[in-house]
Amino acid sequence: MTIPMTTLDTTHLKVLFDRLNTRYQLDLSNYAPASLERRLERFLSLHYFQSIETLTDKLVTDSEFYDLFIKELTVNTTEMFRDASCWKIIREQIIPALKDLPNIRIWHAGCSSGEEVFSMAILLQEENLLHKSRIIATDLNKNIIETAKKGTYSLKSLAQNEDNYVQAGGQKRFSDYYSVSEPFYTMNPSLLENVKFMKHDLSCTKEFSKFDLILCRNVMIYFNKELQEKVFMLFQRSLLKKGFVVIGKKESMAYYSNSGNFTEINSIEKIYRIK
Amino acid sequence: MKTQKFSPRKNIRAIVIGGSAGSIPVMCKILSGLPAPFTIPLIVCLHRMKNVSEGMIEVFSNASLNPVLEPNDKEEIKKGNVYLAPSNYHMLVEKNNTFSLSTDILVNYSRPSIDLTFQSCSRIFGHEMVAILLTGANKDGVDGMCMAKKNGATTIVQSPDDCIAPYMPQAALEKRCIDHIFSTTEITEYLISLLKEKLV
Repeated sequence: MTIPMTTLDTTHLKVLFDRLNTRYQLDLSNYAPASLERRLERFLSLHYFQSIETLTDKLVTDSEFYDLFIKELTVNTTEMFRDASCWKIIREQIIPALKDLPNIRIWHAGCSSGEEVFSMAILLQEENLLHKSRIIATDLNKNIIETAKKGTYSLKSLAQNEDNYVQAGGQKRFSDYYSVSEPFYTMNPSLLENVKFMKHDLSCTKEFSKFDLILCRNVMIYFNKELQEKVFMLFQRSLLKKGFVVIGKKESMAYYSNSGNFTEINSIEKIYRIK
Repeated sequence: MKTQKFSPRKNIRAIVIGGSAGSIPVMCKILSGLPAPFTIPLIVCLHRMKNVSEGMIEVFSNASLNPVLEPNDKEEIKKGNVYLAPSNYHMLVEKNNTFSLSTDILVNYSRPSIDLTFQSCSRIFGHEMVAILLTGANKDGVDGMCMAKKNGATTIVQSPDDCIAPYMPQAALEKRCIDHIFSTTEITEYLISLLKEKLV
């Protein structure tokens, strides 16, 4: 019988996870193995590590290197108004339900480089609600939070983002929201006036506030079912009365044990509301 | 190596198929020739337009006697289903027989990437899988075929004479990681023979 080729040995992986957990309180054992192992292998070969043990030793002794590791291990691909159809539903169905609240509390869980935070701020500004919104954006990776705060992106991503903005029902011109300085463009800093960025690890499942709307799109696909369950529980505890949760298009609340506490608002865009 | 019929002697847990958008008609022809229930899962990764998420399911569902679906993340892989990689996600599989999706960067300019699906399936199914590469004009899928072969899978390419864009199967042939070169009809016949073997 041929053994499937894997360069990662389970015992060594467990040692890596245990030592990272002890040293940095990072628990990778609940990440989805297929993606995680692929990223790990990629990291090993990009940085010329011969074995996972040498990588483990380096990580626990060098915290700067650890930051780089986290940056490269986590998937940070995102876009402004990614999945425009979803943003259209947010504009047409969620915003009207929130607009009369004295203030609107929003959590971007796993905000990555900030594109969805800017998307939300633009949408709220166009609906004349940004001034009374309080947005918290969190990510595990502190370097990527710095990118988000700057709001500076490569011009290569501009055409796609402009296109998404139009598809999502944008009411102005996307160019009203940024200034260009080749080869980058920077989003208007005023969009972040009511945004607070924080480092937060979803896998430690700590609640810190209450929200009317939680966006966590294409983040939990990197977790296993056990961790997804805990994160859904965290979201449930963190929602205000009749609050909304939006997850990624191919994610599902179906495996969550308390999914009965939510109403499915849109089954294609995966929008849920707590009963 | 040409088209001799090959008697499978192992338990096949998955049939994994890759191709570019041009292979949609080929895929329809294969699906329409398969009986239902087809008790081996078909895991299909075709290149597709990023912003066109609908349409492909309908096309394949019309052709197929077996249910065609785009899996959600964590969905269990079930016999008798045809799984299609969703637009703008990579499709991977886990040891616990579920799908794992990813929005990781493009691989070979593609998301979904055929290489990623083949490689991930190869890790899980090893020699108990059949990998099939259809027509295509980019090298995505070739490395995945090589890995599948290395791990003992049966590897098949659509005959370059039969392809509208033979680059993809041709590149795999040059890597010498291919067991069979089949026409579309032969691919269908081969898959049906796997099923008979399995039922015995």
